[in-house]
Amino acid sequence: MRKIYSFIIILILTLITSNLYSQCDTFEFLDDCTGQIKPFTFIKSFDVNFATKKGSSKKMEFSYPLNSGHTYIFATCGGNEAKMILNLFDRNHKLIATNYIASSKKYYETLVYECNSTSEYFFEVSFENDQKTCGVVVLGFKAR
Amino acid sequence: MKKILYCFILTLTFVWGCSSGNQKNESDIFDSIANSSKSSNVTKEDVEKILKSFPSPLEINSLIKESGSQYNDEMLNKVENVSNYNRSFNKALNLGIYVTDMGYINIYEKTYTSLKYLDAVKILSNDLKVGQFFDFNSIKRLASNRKNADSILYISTRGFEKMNSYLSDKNRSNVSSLILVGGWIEGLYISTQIVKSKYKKELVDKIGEQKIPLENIYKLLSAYNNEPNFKELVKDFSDLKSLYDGVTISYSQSKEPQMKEVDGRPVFVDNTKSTINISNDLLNKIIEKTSNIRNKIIK
Repeated sequence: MRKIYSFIIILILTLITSNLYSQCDTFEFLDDCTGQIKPFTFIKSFDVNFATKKGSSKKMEFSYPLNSGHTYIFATCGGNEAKMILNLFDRNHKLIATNYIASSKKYYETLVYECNSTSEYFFEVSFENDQKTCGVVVLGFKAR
Repeated sequence: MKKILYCFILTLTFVWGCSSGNQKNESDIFDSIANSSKSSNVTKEDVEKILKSFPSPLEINSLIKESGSQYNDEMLNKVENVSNYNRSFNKALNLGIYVTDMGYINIYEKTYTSLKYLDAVKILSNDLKVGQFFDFNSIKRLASNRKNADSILYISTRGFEKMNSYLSDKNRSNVSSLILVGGWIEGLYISTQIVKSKYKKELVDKIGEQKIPLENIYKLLSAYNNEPNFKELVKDFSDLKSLYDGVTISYSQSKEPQMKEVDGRPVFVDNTKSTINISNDLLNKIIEKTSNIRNKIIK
């Protein structure tokens, strides 16, 4: 009978922990991350959750229309204190900005982009050392 | 031992029963809204991508204030109209409209007026069973002080995102689509009405720039084209898109952005310039078409 008890307890614990991991609540990061964008106005957040992402890619891609005359800020907040790397691409998918400067190995939690050309922009997000954790990207703006 | 097994099976059955029971109720509520895009060329992944990239009406609302336009709530959808919306299809579209109206009101720091709109948002979101994502009590408390407009904007935008995320998880992206489309058309309507009364170059440019999100919005709506409720809306947006085909956006030669560090943040300056070309005749047609679509929705 003890074996059955142990089996049930282990089963329940496994179900609970796996459920918690897959549901990694990215909204938990949102309030703190939004604090990083001041004095910009919060526009939108993008969930980055590799636990629920389909496929084997270690990058998540998003797009958003940015407007000329506005300055944007991207703030990255991740779980497990993992550094979240964000690369911004223009409408032709050409890399135009990043929060990780490879030459100096300098990492920033935010990235500011002064936009002068309205179009759809793309950005991809990954974690340092290809960690499969979760986080959030917060986008803010201000007019110039 | 049998008792333990019975207990275990009963627990699992109860948990499963609760979750599937909730889904059943939601299905009932959204029966009148199209539920699939099986016959469309747009995949579920496409729909989710477009929803994630949907522009916030906050930016255009903010620009309206910066352009020096006076606050005018006569343009907004009347709160009293909320009782006219009996179908889930209209409720979802008008929820988007009221959320954009609330954003406009809060940008002008008319927090007291925003409470009336909050009631409309509450009614429609509760009817659509997504009211739990809006922290109505906090918003009401914050609305007592006009200095809290930023906090209200943040809380309501966050609630809106949580709601969209939930609807997407529950395979109810069609509801999200309608809410976002309603919000977008209201933002366009407000800016076109301002330009109609007084020409403002920066606002006209923003109206022209809506050509970019409109491409995706039309693609999104066309996913539901075979549903009777959506047919007329898709046709209207197809007409609007045809007008926008006449708007041109040209770009100066692309140059590498420059980077500088300001207050510990990397700042990249875009060295490419975009120019919007939109004739007055075309602008008037866009103003008229936008007004027709929006007024049809709020009827």
